[in-house]
Order: sequence, then structure tokens, then C-alpha cells
Amino acid sequence: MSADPRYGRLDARERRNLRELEKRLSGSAVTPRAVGGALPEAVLTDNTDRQKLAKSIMGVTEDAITLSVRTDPQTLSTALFPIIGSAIRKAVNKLLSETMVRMNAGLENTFSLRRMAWRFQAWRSGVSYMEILLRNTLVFQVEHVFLIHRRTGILLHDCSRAGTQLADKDMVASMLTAVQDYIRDSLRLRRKSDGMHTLTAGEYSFVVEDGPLAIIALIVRGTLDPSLRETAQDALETIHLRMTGPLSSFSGDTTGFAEAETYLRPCLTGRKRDDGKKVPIYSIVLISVLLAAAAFFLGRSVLERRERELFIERLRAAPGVVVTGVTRGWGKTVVHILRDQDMEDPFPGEDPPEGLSVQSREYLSLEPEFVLRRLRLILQPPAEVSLQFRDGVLHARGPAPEAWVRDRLPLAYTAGGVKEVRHSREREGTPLPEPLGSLSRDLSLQTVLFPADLDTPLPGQDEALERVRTLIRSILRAAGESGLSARIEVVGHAAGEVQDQGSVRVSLGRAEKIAGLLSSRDGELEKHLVPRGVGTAEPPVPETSRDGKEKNRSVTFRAVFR
Amino acid sequence: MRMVKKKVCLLGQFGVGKTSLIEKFVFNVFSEKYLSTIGVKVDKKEVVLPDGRRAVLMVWDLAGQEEENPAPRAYLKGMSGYLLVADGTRPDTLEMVRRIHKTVGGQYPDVPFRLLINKSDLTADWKISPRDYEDYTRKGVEVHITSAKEGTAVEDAFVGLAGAMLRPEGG
Ligand SMILES: Nc1nc2c(ncn2[C@@H]2O[C@H](COP(=O)(O)OP(=O)(O)O)[C@@H](O)[C@H]2O)c(=O)[nH]1
Ligand SMILES: [Mg+2]
Repeated sequence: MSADPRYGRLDARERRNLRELEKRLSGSAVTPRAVGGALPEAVLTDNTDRQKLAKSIMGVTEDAITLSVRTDPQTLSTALFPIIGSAIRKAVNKLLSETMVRMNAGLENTFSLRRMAWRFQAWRSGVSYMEILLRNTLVFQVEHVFLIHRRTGILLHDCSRAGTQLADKDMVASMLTAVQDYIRDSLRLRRKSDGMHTLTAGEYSFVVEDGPLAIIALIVRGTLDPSLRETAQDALETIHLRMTGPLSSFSGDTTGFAEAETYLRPCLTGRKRDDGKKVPIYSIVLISVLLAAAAFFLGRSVLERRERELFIERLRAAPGVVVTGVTRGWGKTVVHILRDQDMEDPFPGEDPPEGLSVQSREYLSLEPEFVLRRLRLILQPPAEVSLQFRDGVLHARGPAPEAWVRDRLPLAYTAGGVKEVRHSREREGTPLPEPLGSLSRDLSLQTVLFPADLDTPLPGQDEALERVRTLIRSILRAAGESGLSARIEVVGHAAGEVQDQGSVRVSLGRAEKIAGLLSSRDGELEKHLVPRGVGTAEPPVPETSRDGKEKNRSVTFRAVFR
Repeated sequence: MRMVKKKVCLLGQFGVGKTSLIEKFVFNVFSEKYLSTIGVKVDKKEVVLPDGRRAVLMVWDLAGQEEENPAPRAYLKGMSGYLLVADGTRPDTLEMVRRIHKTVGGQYPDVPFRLLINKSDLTADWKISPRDYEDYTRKGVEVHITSAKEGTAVEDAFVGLAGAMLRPEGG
């Protein structure tokens, strides 16, 4: 530290303070009280050249603070708050509020022209970047406070700082509620505390506090100060306490909510910049741009998060994979999984989405599919023998040499999950006679596609329908020749991740439509067709892309024989 | 003078003219971008009832009712009324209205609504006749044949809905 030329500018007492402070930062056992006794005094007595002192302290501690905040902001702020001058406290606030914004809203504030400009200014003037940053950012002013009815999104009351105006607060309030709903809905957030707290775009921010009956939103110009949230929370709690009745029975008349003014006013706080520059009056246009930008960024980060969540969901659903934990860190989510030893990669050839990594350890899966895979390796069954595994019971069917049954088959118990082993000499149900087998396979590959929400096939599906019709015809004939009776399931699907009445209805509509179209082309088919709507339950393709969605708005076919 | 504020939703398949219906009457503030990103855009419309009462309608224009889009459900909560919109040149949009109504009406049985058949200016391509929606008219649902393009009957629809919503507080 003594290598820093600025160190020479400190007097003895300041140096001592600095040393103490340094010890404090590095976690040595100096009590806050001891440092606290000396440092504020030093700062206060140095009235003449306070700037210089602050500047030098800042210069030296900048790195330490940044580093410490990066590891654990809470420890540092708790330690520093009571003992050092306001300049550093503000710096910590600034860093804290930045992390809060990032953590709470998931907003990526990666590139800012303004910040670049400050860096340039710092380089040119030789003043530390930190100082420029402080000069420009440690200012905030709450310009508007909104009290919004939670359920309807209707603005109940608002107050504004003198000299500011906002053309249509009603709409801003409703849009804010919609954005809130959107975030909660698309992330399927459960805990209330997961809601949006802050939104920043350029110079303006929203601080949103969300209660069961009402929402308070602050429109803030400048840097978010963490204390703002507490102020807003206080107000929100008081309002919930005092106005429960009117809030829960609200039906459009807002006159009664003028009383809230008393509780909302204190939220109009601020911290002014010294040069006292005027705060310009801004308009609905600015706010609208802000909201648009916020919605855009949120939309994007929400989508990215959604993608990660979907990936995790898919991992959970994948056979042979157990998700044991998810650690969500800063910008990086780690999924810990157990993966069956026989499985190389749950989704071959696919990388996890941005910001997500998978850490896996091997285990022995007891899922039938995996037990069976191990059984095949261990038992090496003769070609004639088929293996079936269900409910802990291994059933080996087909003629096999005595020696295999005696010596090999019992090894099944070592595969894990096998409770009982049976063997029967008869073969498993014979495969379909040709050409029925290949015809059925062909049929199962046919798809008729539909536009979103509609049960009329996309244009140009005539050919597909005709192919289906001839295939069904051939299957019915071949089945008759083999003495089997056949029915053809016409299975309607809908795109989407949620299974609800709507999607089942749409899918059934599609299946019925196709069954109808086929019957009208060929009356013979009608009594063999069984339309079914499965909604989103059996998607023909995994729904990871737009393309997948389009393929899932479809009807597929399945031949069943008796 | 007491002024009530009510939340109203516009529902209907993509392309029937929901956005145009509201745009006709309000000063547009929020960009269309919202609809594509978060699936909703809120506009404000002040209406004056025949008896002189006034109301502010916060109109939530929801993006198309895609079968896979669960978002609108959250957006409906707290609404005092809704407009179901179909396109008179596309009978399938009336089907969509029925589907939407079945879900929404089940969830909000007591919330008043109106049926709008829009694009009445396109007489040559008009494909919906009163018989196609008589299931609604028979149940006493008011149907408005509108044109967002020419402004026909749009005000009536909003005012009519507002009247139905305000009735309980009566004047
Ligand atoms: N001729 C005519 N076109 C209309 C009318 N209303 C909407 N449109 C057109 O229909 C298309 C879809 O309208 P839009 O309002 O975006 O539908 P939304 O998806 O329901 O919001 C646009 O090209 C509009 O210009 C109308 O009353 N008459
Ligand atoms: Mg629209």
C-alpha cells in the first residue's frame, strides 16, 4: 500500500485510520468500536480538504471493496456502515444496489454508453473512475408513487413530486401490473418474494413492492438506493393494515383512497446532487420507452430463464436421470444429477442452454428400462429368448439351453431391482405378420398438420390424407387376410406445455375432423376409425422449438389389432 | 362527480381486429411491442353512459388466444367485463369465440360481456349470418356488428358494456 503515491498525502492519523480500516476489511480482530472512534473524527476534523481525504481513501479502498463485495456484500456493509464516512457508504450502496437489481430482476446491465463515457472522462481527467461514478450516480429522486390495486391493476392513488408530471398514470399502473403478472406467470413463481422488485432502464427505475391486496410502485430517477425498498415496504404494510376493507371490496371507485396519501408521501424521498441541477420534467413518452425497454429486457431474460427451467424439467423427466439439486448462482445455474451408469448423455448432441451447466454422477437406476439394459449385458440371452421386466419381476420367454437357465439366469439378481426371476419356454406374442407390420409402421409415421388453434388442416395436406387413406385401406385388407380385426386410432394433438380443457378440445376437434374427412373420402373406413384427443399429453415431437410446436399441431394414426 | 375505473378485456382470435377496435378510440401510448413480448397492452377509454354517468375503462388487449398460451389467464383476473370479438369474414373466428367463452364464462360466470362481429365494412366477404350466433342472441347476449375501420358501432359496444357493468351501483 505504501507504494501508492496517494498514501503520502495522508497525515499520520489518517494513515493510522487507513491501516485500521484495512485490517478491518481483511477481517482481523480490530473492533468496529475502536476504528469507529477514530475514523469519523478524522474525517470530520479535516474540513478544509475533505475532498482530498475522501478521494485518497476511495482510491486505495476501491479494489478492496470491489473484491469484498464480490465475495460477500453483506459482511462488508455490516462492518462498514457504522464506521466510515458517507462517501464510502454511498459507494457500497451503489455496489449493493447494483447487485440487488441484478439478482432481483435478472436484468443484465452489461453495456451502458454512459458508463463508457465516464471511463473515458476518468482516463482523460486522471480522476479515479470510482469518483466519477460516485459523482454521477449517488443521486436519486423518487418522482412518483403509485398505489395499485393488485387484482385489477387499477391505480388507486398516486402522488408526485412537485414539478414532475406524467400524462397517463392509469395506463402505466396497469402495464406495470401486467408486467408483474407476466413475470410471475412465465416463471411459475411460487414464493411471493420472487416477484419483481426493481426494473432499471437507463436513468429511470421502478421499485415495485407487492402485497396481497395492493402494489406500491416507485418511479425513481437516478440510482436505486436499497433503503427505498424498505420505505416502500413500510408504506405498503401500513396501507394493508389500515385499508384492508376498501382494498378487498374495491369495485372501481377510487375516491376512498385519498387517505393513502399520508402513507405514500414519505416515499417521495431523494438525495440531491450538490451542483443542484434541475430535474427535467419528463413525459409519458419517456416512461413508455422505459417500460418498453424493461419489457424487452425482461422478456428476454425471462425467456432465457424459462429455457433453463424447461431444460431442468426435461432432465427431471428423462429416464435414468435423477435431479438431486439445483444451485442458482450469479448468472450461472448448476444442475446436479445422478445419471445411470449405462447412459452417456441424457440428450445426445444437445448443449445445455446458456448459463446452465450440468454436473453428473453415476448411479444404478432402478427404472425398468435401465434394469433391462443391464440384464441384457449380464445374461447375454440366446437369440430366441426375450426379456421382460416389470414390477421387480424378470420374465424370460423362449426356448433356451438348460445350462443358460441354470447358470446364467440366476445372475439376474445381481442387476439390482430384480426380486423374482421367471422363465417360460413359449415365445412372446408373435410379431405382426407381414405386410401388416410394415404397413402399421408406415401409418404411424404419417402426420396431418394444422394451424394454431384451428381444426382445419393446413393447406396442402390433401396428399398426406390420401396416403393415410390408402395405407388404412391396405391395413384393413391385410388384417382381414390374417384373420385379425383392426381399428385405427386417429389421435389429435395440440401444441403447448400445459394440458388443459382447451388443448384437449382442440386436439379432439382435429381428430374428429380428420376422421370425418377420411370417411367422406371412403365410406368403408368410418366404422374402423376411432378419433381421440390427447391434448398436449403425447407430443409427437419434443417441444423445444417453434418447429416442434408446428409439428405438434397435428393428427397421427395408430393401428390396433385383435 | 364520482368516476369509477373498471378493467375490461378484449378477447378473440388473432387478426379479428381487437387492437384496431381500441386504437380507433384512444390515444395510443404503449407500443404494439408489448403484445408480442408480454402478450398484453393496456389502453384507457373514457365512456359516457346515456344517463350521464361516466366511467374509465382500462382496456386490456390480449394477444391471440393461442391454445398453448397460458398467459391470458393471469391477465383476466379482476376484470369487470369483456368483449368477445369475431371477424365477420371468417366463421372459424366465431368458433374460437365460443371456445374462449366456454373457458372464460366458466371462470367468470357473473361478469358481463358483449359479442362483437367486426369488419362489417367488408360486405362482399361477409360470411356470418344472424343464424350462426343465434345461440347467443337467444340467451339474451347483445351482439354488435362493428367496423373498426369505419368506426361503426364501436362506441356503442363499449358504452353498452360499461352500462351492464355499472348497473348494480345504479344511478
Ligand atoms: N376492413 C377492416 N379491416 C379491419 C377491421 N378491423 C381490423 N381490421 C384489419 O384486420 C387486421 C387485424 O387487425 P388487428 O386489430 O391487429 O387484430 P387483432 O389481432 O385482433 O388485434 C389488420 O390488418 C386490420 O387493419 C375492420 O373493421 N375492417
Ligand atoms: Mg392485436
